[in-house]
Amino acid sequence: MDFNVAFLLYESLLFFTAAIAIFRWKLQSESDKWITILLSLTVLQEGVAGLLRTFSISNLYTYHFYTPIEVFFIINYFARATRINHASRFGLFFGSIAVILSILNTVFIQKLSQFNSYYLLLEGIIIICFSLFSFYKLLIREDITPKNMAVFWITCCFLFYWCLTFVSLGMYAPVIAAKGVLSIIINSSLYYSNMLFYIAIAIVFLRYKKLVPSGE
Amino acid sequence: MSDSYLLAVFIGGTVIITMFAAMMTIFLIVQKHRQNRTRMERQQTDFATKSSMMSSRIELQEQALEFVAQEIHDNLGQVLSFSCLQLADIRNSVPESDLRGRLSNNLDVTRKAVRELRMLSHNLSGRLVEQRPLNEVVESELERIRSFCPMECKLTVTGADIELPPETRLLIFRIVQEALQNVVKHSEAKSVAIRMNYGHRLFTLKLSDDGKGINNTENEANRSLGMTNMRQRARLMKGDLLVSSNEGRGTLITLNIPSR
Repeated sequence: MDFNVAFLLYESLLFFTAAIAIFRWKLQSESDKWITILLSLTVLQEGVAGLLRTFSISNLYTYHFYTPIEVFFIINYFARATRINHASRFGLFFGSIAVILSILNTVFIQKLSQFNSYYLLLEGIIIICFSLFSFYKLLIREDITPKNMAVFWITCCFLFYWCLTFVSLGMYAPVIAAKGVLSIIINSSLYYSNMLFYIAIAIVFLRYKKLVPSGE
Repeated sequence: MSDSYLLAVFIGGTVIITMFAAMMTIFLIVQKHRQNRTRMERQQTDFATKSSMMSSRIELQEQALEFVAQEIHDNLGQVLSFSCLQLADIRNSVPESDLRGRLSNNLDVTRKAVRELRMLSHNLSGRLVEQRPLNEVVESELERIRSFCPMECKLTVTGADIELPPETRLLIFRIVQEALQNVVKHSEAKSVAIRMNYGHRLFTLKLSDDGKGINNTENEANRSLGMTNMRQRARLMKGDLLVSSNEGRGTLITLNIPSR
């Protein structure tokens, strides 16, 4: 698929997913609202990144700003969705640590002009761990059916997305630098993983009325 | 490192990690399914135990009521009937006077007491209730209430002609008795209406009054022993009993049980 067409498709999907999530705002629990805000911020970030690319300006630094915010939101989502004690303090504390780590990565390892793949790798580890923790919490809860829970499906989306992209992000720096065929494959796999992720999230929000909101 | 080697690492790594995610998800679903099944089985066992205890308790209550009904019929009833005969005899032996009139009044009252006692003994005896159609026993209970309480009582029966099993009829009748007793004792109602609908799938009984109602339906309804008995009886028939009430606007009791 042509790169521009793929990008347009990806942007449309993202916009569509965010729109559905916003449409369901009134029904959402506090934790799901974190995801909706995150989706809206992602639309904004991808919009800015796309605009910069149109004017042939490097958009890599937008990811240095966006990624720590993304981690902050996802940690806060999981803290509330898994009903951790003192969820807001937990989310604020670990989210802040994630933001500090991102700043350290930008300052010392991958500069603003480089793609922050190491930090994304760390983000992957954090989110996979939180997803497994969320599964554990679902396992020990009584009187629930996972397939009826929004938290189960959103966790599945995160887990599969980050498992699919984990190796890509780990190999990103050396492979993209080599600019071989593999870089095209990895870039494409990242695009398709993203598309699958947003389709899955859109389906979750489309079926939201039939699900138990996260954290309830 | 060659491209093919990196490609193999990329594909292999991605597949392994994704399979790990899939395994975790499947594990959660299977494990949760097992947990839910075990919990359901445990609940069913609990329910069966409770039902059996409830049946034993209700059986004991029925035996006690049967005994009381028998005693009323055989002893109290006989004594009053004998008293009636004697009063009639005395009345007939005295000449026409004020005393004769008073004896006649006394005889009427005693005869009324005999009739009411007979009705009460019939309604208390589970064996006799089981032998009669539900509509008839409910009507006779309403008649008994009318005889001592100035309350308008009405029974409406609709739906298909479905014969409920005798033990179900007895349980329904005991619920009606308990509910009517509550209306008479606490509601200060001017009228009470019972509507019974025999559906092909569901038998519904609605008992409504225009009394003072219950302040906090749930709490009040849960606290009362009579209400607990009614609920237990409904549960024994695999049915449910709902109580809805507003202060000053009467009470509605709805019993739903499967027809078959």
